[in-house]
Amino acid sequence: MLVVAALTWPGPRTVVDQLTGSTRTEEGRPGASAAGLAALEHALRIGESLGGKVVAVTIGPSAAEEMLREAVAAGAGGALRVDADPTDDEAVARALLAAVAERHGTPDVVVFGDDSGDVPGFLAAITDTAQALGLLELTVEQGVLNGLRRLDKGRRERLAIPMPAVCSVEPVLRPRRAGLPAMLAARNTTIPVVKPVVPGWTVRAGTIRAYRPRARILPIPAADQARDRIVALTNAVSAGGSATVVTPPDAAAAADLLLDYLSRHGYLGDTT
Amino acid sequence: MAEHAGPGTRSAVVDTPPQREVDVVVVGAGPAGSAAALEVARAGHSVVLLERGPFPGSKNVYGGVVYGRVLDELVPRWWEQMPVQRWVTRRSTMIMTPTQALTVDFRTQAWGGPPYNGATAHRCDLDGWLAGLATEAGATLVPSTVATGLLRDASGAVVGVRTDRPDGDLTAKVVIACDGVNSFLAKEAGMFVGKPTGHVTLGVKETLRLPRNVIDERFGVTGQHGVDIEILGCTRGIPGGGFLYTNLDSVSVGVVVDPHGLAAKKVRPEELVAELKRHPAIEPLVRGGELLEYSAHLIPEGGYDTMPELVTDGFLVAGDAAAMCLAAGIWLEGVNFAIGAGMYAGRAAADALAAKDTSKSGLASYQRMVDESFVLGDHRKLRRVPGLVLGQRMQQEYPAVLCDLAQGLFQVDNPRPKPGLLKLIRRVLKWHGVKTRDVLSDALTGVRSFG
Amino acid sequence: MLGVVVVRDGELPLGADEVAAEAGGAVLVVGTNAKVAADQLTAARTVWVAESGTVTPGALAGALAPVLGEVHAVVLVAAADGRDLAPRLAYALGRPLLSGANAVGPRSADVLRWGSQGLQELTPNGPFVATLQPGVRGAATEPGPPRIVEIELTSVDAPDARSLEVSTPKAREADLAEARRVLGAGAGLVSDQAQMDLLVEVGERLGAAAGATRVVTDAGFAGHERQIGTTGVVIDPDLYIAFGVSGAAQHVGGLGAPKHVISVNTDPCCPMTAMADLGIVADAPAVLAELARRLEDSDG
Ligand SMILES: Cc1cc2nc3c(=O)[nH]c(=O)nc-3n(C[C@H](O)[C@H](O)[C@H](O)COP(=O)(O)OP(=O)(O)OC[C@H]3O[C@@H](n4cnc5c(N)ncnc54)[C@H](O)[C@@H]3O)c2cc1C
Ligand SMILES: Cc1cc2nc3c(=O)[nH]c(=O)nc-3n(C[C@H](O)[C@H](O)[C@H](O)COP(=O)(O)OP(=O)(O)OC[C@H]3O[C@@H](n4cnc5c(N)ncnc54)[C@H](O)[C@@H]3O)c2cc1C
Ligand SMILES: Nc1ncnc2c1ncn2[C@@H]1O[C@H](COP(=O)(O)O)[C@@H](O)[C@H]1O
Repeated sequence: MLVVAALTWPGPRTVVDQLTGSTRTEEGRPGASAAGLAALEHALRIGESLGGKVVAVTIGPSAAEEMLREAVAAGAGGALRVDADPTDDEAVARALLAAVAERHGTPDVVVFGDDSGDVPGFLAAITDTAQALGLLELTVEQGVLNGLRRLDKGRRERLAIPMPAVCSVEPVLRPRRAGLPAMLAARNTTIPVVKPVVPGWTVRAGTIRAYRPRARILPIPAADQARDRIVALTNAVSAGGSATVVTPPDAAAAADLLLDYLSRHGYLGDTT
Repeated sequence: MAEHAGPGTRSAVVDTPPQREVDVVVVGAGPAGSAAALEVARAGHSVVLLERGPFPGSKNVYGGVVYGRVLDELVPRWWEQMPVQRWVTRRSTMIMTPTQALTVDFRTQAWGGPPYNGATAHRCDLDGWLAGLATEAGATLVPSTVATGLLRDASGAVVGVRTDRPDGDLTAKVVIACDGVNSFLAKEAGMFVGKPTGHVTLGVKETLRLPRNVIDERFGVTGQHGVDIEILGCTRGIPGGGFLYTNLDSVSVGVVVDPHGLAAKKVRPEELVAELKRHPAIEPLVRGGELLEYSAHLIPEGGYDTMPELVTDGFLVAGDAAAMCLAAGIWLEGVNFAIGAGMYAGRAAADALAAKDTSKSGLASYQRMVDESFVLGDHRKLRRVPGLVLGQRMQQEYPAVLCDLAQGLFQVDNPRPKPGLLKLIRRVLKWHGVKTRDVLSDALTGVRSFG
Repeated sequence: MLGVVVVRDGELPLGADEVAAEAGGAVLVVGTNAKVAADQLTAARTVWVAESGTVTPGALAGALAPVLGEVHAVVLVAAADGRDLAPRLAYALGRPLLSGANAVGPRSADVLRWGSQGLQELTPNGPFVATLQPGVRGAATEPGPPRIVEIELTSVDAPDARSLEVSTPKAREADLAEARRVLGAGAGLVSDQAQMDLLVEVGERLGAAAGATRVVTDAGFAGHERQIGTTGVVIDPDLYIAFGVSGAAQHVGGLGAPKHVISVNTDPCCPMTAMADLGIVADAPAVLAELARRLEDSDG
């Protein structure tokens, strides 16, 4: 039984200046994301209840080995760094799979954090296995994986997940804290590096611009006259006009503005 | 005072371990801790470097000026590898009142080339680099781990530390406390017993992003050259001072002030920084900067007289943990002292291990090395400086006196004749109710300290 | 272009009409009780309806791939079932996936990057699959009913997870979904429980329900049933006041079309403030504390 915790290496954070659209990168915190840590904890628990080996894997630079060492200290039986620069999520999935297969064989369960884009979906597609993504709960009951996932509109779905399986979890679990002897031991483990060659899709990518919301299409109001429909749509008569952004001097002035807006639009006085 | 409680309040007494797990445990991967671990590892002893943050530098206030001279002894040609933002080639001391500013501006190209003098550096880069040197030399860095107490044997000798991890006790022949200001390990080891309560001051800082070419233009520098401005008179009379440093594409601006003064005047430290940023002499320099980071941290500033004992059985203290920081108005140096002290502590531990005597007397060479070096040399020499620079006259009166003096000198009052200098000095001192006698005595302290 | 909408038990997912509109009115509705769901579409011109015993992604991808081979651009909703199906369908069709789009065109898609801060145009050199963020475009109602074409899919066996149970939101959660006024808490407001509690209190005084972003619910300051967004509760109030919310697409996608939106944020350029009627650039915890004080004063 092989359980893989696939951790996303956060890398540098990119910030887009919303006024000019210029972008810059900031060194991120070098460590696993909350979702990644939750994935690791789930993988460790699954490994414990099913009696399997847990391997932590990531695609990233040598700086990512720190994160993998912490996974080993927390109880992972192995770690693997994949040295590749895949162009798309399908290629990420292939790279992960190739690396794990080379060192450890075919995984029975792969757990991702839900910050892994479409990588889990592609991995399930490539390996033709069951997938259960965006899980709030992932447990083993009588040797079977059981998950609770979110659907839209607040609905939840409970799943029985046959193995082999690819799962992704929300950051709902804090990882266990590694003991000091395990931490010390892990410091000196060398993390194996695998360099798979994975082709990707050729997709022409434009420059990244600042986000601008699209004009939203609104339902046409019911009114006989075109003029009335336009008035209803634009709130031209009743409302104070278009959007405003204000920078009040202090919180009190901000509260004034907010309450004034609410009162002008009839939200104060009745709280039904 | 509870802070200065005697030894052993949180120590765990253990049987003398027959075999220690490591030779040395260094607590805190700041500049002091990394330098200590580096020296121990270089000498071939096993060393564990504990850091409570997820990586070195994560818990430290970043950005400041680092004086690298001390590194000559630790890392040959350090300037080729240290992560530097800008080399300080221009150092200004600015004295201000709310509407005036008098600047003494010094510039030398000599500081812009090897072997260099001061540099601005981000703390996470600098601490990461130093810790990296230590681990390359063989030290084991253990992040996200807090030392929660000391382990002592029945005789009271320190034999290790307890950490917040499961199975977290770690025995060692020597523990070096580099855990920063208000070091509770040093307190727990009883190193402060009988010492006057150390003062701490509060450093608050904002990092503002500005394009690199804008910084070059505003501060009159090119390439990787940078500016360090230390400021007096910007703290509403609360003992302290301000600073403005240039990084590559950001500037750091902040104040270092007495927390009691803040409390007494009911001023919040960020108000002082905001005021400083609005000052007519500063505003044109920082205008339009986007706030990247706001941080606050305590700094020990009591100086030489408030330093703890540095050595006891199996235990050494270095850096801010031993109050080895010079924070007095126009000085803000701590990293260099921390590196120096850490280096000597590491060497002393290595020597003691080689001589198989890690008792107080076996480790005593640490005290001697810091005594003979700049680490304590400077602190001894400058022991009166905090009192002078942070005293009431320097804080509340001299800035205005000096600025009015300059204004009197440079203001053209035709057709009235220009006043004579001495007359002007007497007039200005009288205005501000400052006695000539005090000025002379302060001048004397200054000359003694720096002469 | 063709929209593909996965339906469960005759219920359309979030963003179904938007996908139909984005694809020019052409949409394939697949799932359980597909016909019932198809009838609820308002923005479709031609609807292909394919009844399927299951909505699991492996089986659906296998069944759909043979009929979609000729379609150049396949657009799904970036909500649970659509997001699940997209990579499997792209893989089965042997084409790239452009996911989380703000807009999809016949040859390219404009995808959201870096937590909705940026947009990037992606142009593959052939056919592709894309997912469209719900809530980004709205959809006009088509004047007439759509042409309905029923089609048969060949079902395929796939080792999918088995659905044991789907639960709908409980009454308490529904009150957020149904509320006419909602206050939203984001990472810029909530750094401890007290702020979330205060928001609930202020909400009560304004007759508003309190919700939160996923950052807040993940941190445990509000229950997961309070999360507003495409993977949480979908709301459609008259008034939405966002405190320290950046306006990520997954959050905004669950807001519906409020008449009045106020955003209190220190960043004047964040997407939430950009879409607000009143953007207040201020410290959210301080403003909330001030509001609490005022509302208490006026009550007492
Ligand atoms: C605003 C400000 C500006 C400054 N500017 C300058 C400047 O320009 N130039 C200059 O030279 N100095 C400056 N200083 C002073 C300088 O930062 C310090 O003197 C220096 O960092 C001291 O180094 P250190 O290694 O002794 O302690 P620190 O850098 O404080 O390192 C202590 C380390 O120990 C860790 N630690 C603490 N307790 C524990 C524990 N129990 N277990 C595990 N780890 C622990 C901490 O996380 C930290 O990493 C400034 C200080 C401030 C606040
Ligand atoms: C598959 C998936 C599904 C998701 N589904 C959802 C979902 O359904 N709902 C959801 O909400 N999220 C969802 N997310 C998460 C979403 O992408 C964003 O991460 C989240 O919405 C951001 O929440 P936020 O605005 O609170 O935090 P941030 O994006 O961190 O924004 C914080 C904001 O607060 C402002 N701020 C900071 N300090 C202050 C201050 N003192 N005063 C005022 N403002 C301040 C900042 O300027 C910033 O705009 C999902 C993510 C994934 C990957
Ligand atoms: N195990 C992994 N190692 C490295 N990168 C990964 C891994 N899993 C996912 N990723 C990448 O992380 C990205 C998440 O991006 P986003 O959803 O935009 O935050 C995915 O698109 C992948 O490119």
